Amino acid sequence: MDGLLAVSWLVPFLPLLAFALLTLFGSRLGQGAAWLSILFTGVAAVLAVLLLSPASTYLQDQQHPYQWGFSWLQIGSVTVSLGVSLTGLNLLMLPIVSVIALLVQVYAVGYMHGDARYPRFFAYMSLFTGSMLALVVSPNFLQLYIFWEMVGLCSYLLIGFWYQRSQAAKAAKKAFIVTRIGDVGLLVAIFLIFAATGSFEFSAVIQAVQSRQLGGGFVTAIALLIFLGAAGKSAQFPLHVWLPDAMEGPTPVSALIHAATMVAAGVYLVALTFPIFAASAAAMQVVAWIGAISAFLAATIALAQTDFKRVIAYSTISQLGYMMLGLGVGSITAGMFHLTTHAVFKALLFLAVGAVIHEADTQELDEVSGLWGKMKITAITFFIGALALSGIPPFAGFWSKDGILAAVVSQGNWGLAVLGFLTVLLTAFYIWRIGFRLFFGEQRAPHGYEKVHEAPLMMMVPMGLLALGAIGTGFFGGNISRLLGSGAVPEAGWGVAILATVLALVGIGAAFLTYLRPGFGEAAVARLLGPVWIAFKRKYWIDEGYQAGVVRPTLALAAGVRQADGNIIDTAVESVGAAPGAIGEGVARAQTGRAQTYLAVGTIAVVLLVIVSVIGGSR
Amino acid sequence: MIGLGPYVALGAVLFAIGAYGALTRHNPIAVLMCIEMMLNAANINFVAFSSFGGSIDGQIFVIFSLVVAACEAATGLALVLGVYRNRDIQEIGDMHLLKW
Amino acid sequence: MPPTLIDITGQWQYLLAEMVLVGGGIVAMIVDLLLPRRNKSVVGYFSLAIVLAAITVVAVQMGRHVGGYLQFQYVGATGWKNTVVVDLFAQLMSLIMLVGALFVLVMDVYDWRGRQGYEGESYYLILFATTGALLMANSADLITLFIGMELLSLPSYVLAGLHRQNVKSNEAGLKYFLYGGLATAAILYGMSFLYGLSGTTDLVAMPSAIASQLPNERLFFDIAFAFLLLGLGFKMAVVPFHMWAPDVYEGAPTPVTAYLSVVSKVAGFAMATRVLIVPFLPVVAESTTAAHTGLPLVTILAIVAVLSMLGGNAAALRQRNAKRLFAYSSIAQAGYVLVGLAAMPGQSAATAGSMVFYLAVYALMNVGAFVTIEWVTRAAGDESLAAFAGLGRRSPWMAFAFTVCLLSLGGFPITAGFWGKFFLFSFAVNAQLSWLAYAGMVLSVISFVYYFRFIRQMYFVRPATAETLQVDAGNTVVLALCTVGVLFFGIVPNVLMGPAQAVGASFLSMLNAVP
Repeated sequence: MDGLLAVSWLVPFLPLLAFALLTLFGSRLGQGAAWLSILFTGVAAVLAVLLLSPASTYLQDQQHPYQWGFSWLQIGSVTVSLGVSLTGLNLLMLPIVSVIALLVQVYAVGYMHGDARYPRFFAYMSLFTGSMLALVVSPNFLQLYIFWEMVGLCSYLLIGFWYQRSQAAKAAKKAFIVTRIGDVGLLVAIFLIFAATGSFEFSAVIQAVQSRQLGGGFVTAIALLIFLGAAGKSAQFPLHVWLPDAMEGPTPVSALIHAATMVAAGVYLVALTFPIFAASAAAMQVVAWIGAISAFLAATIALAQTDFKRVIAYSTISQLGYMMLGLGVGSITAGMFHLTTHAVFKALLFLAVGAVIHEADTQELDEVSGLWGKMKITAITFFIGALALSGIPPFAGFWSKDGILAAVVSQGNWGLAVLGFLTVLLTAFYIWRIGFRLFFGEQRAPHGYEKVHEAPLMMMVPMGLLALGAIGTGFFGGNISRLLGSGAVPEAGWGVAILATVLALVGIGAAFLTYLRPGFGEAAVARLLGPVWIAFKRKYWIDEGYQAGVVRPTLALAAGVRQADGNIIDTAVESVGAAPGAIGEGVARAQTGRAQTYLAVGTIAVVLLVIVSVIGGSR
Repeated sequence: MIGLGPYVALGAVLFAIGAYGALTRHNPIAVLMCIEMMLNAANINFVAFSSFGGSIDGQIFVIFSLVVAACEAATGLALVLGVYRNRDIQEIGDMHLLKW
Repeated sequence: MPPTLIDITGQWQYLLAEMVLVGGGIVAMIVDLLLPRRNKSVVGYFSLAIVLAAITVVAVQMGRHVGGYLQFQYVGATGWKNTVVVDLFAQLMSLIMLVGALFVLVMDVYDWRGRQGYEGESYYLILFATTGALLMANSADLITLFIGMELLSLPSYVLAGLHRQNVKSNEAGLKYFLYGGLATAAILYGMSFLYGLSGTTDLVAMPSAIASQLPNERLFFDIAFAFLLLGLGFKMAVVPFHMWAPDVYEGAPTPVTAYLSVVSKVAGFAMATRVLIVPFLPVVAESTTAAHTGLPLVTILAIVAVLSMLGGNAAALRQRNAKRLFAYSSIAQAGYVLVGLAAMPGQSAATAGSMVFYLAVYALMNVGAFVTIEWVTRAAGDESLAAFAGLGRRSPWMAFAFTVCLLSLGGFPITAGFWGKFFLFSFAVNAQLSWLAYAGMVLSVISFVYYFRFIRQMYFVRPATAETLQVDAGNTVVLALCTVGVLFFGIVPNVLMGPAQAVGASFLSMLNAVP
């Protein structure tokens, strides 16, 4: 089986090759471009899955990851290699990335059908897939950083893919610049590590940390700088502002890059460098709190959005917050498990709303509703995704979210736990609000309800497969923890599970009461929701009170947070960008056009230097 | 016998006067002359250091720098004429089409 | 061995490239006088051939590992004096400048089509200026260095003002000249102190002579440093000696702007290495050991670097004129290279290599950018960013090439610019200047904002006209070479970094050489 390991480099290489081929011959291939991309990604995905067993055997037998690479460059006495390292962590990531990329590309065949730049789209998707896979298999920080930037570039290209929309161009640039702010943190961290250890290899760095070769404050600084990079990529507070805007891109892009894979790279990075974080209690606290705050804030914001694609974007921020929270309280397994299940069910949700956008041609909740009659299959897959997201057993999200909450509870930090549990409630509410409003209620669509029908088969097949995944992946927690070798999925007994489930059910019920009751026949709802509906029916009499006491304040809070998000945080992030603008204004204004001013400025600088040296010399 | 100090001081004063003139005179030709003065300040230094330090290099340097200064003056005058031919300007400060 | 009068296999071969350029320039000048007005481009093609010949000379000499000093003896004196040195540093810098000059000449030949004016002059002035630029990298003596600098400067002033009917070009020429005059005077004055302190103009003998004067004459070293900094800061265009650059870049003809931003700047860094770093190495070394009373020279260079990166990048944000924007961009780029210069006293061998690497890459990416700017602005008759609207659809390959150059200027991975910054910053870290490296990383983020304005215009804005931009063969080749070079060195940086790192060794040998 070592033969298979020796060709592991093909996994990232094949999609990159597809990109090269599509760039050169894409326009001649036309619709065939998609199939070339799918073929290469498909082979990569199969390979990634087949690698699982021999590579993990190798890992167990040899006690170190399989490594393959060649010397890339020589800096002084340091050699940096370009290659592949197969650890438990990236053995998990490879199938996630490649399989979801494959499914999304198949979906995109239908979604992007007829687009003028169809081959270009698949070229970018291949470039992204290859870069993301190369990022994941990196044996050193340098390769990781390079592909980290490459996926950022792909994200830029794909958000701005429909450049005719001015919003798309703005959103693309915002995403690129905001994530770059984080990337500088990562780059500085890499240089700090290089300066301290003289190596870019993960293994060397982690060894240096574990052998206490690096000091406490220094490790904290490195960890926080790495986390800055991770927070930028994973859209964590306060660098989250780019992700909702990124929804200007085509929906398959949102599903693959801005939900399932690239944004998870931040979480992956923290998991990868976990020993550095583990060496600093302060850094762990920051990760946990930023994660919890992002989870909670994004969930509240999601409540008040009318653009349903944006709601799911905020949901992504919120769920990434959960993963960070899981890592922050010390459980790689919980964080990575949630990454896995989230990748599946969030991709599913995006593809489902993508089908709605594709058919109804709008992203506004106010413009479309009652689609159940026309898009039953889409609705069912959406609700499977929604069940997984809100954490209803036995759907995937329940198991992984339960793991994170269990880890938080067992650590005993009640602030984090309260935020975590509250977010469960909010999550269920906002996602079911979307579901109820999209698929039930008055039957309407912007271009005529009658014209709406199910999406093409090419789009339905990936949705169906992901729906199966959203039901099934939750049962693989044990396999994942064995693969990672980082401890079992945390369990905290029935209490946490029941509380989380009840909170989720309350959220669903509240959404139901809020959005369905007035316009919809009780009987139909009862048929649809069965026992859940009955559970809420008994509390029907508190509906008014609930509206006034809970929903309205929550909505008001959400609106307020949204306002703050739009104004204060955006302004704060942008004012970081405004400082250079002001300096630039000054520098350019000094440029009066008068030659002697220029001479004077240079001369004054020299005179100052002379004065300083005379004073310095006379001491 | 006069030492090295006064020569260097003379050079410094000449350089400073030249620099002041270059920054304040309004007429481009006058600025050109002030720059020549600064070059000559350096030349005094070279000759003085050469004379007191013993190596001939400094004096050779001065010959080269005088030639360069002549070339520079010729170039400068041509450029000043070029500007005056196309535009009605009185002083250097009037020349500010290019700014910010 | 004393050199015979002209013996190009002996010591004179160290000046062979310069001789080819000067000889070619003189022939071009005469040919230009004889040619009728409509055939002036012949001079341009001839000049191209001359630069190619000079490139061949340098390349062959590098291949044969030619290196050494051109020496002479005063009548009646005993010792040998060095005037010109050919080492790996000089050869690599010469190659960078010659290739830059070659590309600029190609641009220039196109630029004169359909224009009236001093076409022939622009070609041979570039040849003479390039000779000066090469001398600045080759000099082993202050006098040669000064002559080289003036030989670069004087034709450059004229080149900037060459469009005589254009008032902006006039103004650019005169402003450049005025600042250049001040800079020349400052350099000469600074050199006079270096000479006075060391008693020699020989750059090879200078470090040891200076070391013997320390620490007594520290004040005069600092003064010399300050004046040299003004002059070289002007040539390199770094804050606060940058103020001529935006005006001159905007007013000068575009090929000349490209020449100033590439060849002239690279020459400035070559000269700075020879005169601002090497003679002061003992001064820096002394101040790290002895009780420190003088200027912190390394810190001053570092501050100038930060100011350039900050000022250049920040001011570029508000520019709407493409050439002016690139003036500020070049100021910021010079700031990055200064990071290398500042790290050199601490880590001279390796850092010189990273500086050469960056300058080589910078020449490629900046020429590539200027070729695009030239074509786009000329076709649109508009130098604002809006001229680039929809280039992605009008000329997809040109837009792609420009995008690659812009990403490289910003330091994006998979382009050579990333490795350039990476090497510069990592050596700065090694030289105990981590803060400077981190400042560079943070400040370079700003540059993406304005580089992306071009990308946005090219890909996200509708073109004003749908017609494709027809580019002639010469410029296409130049643009393609630049783009391929940037990508090639981005993917396999070692191909260039290998020889560049060897520069350091040749550099140290110059320090230790006993004439």
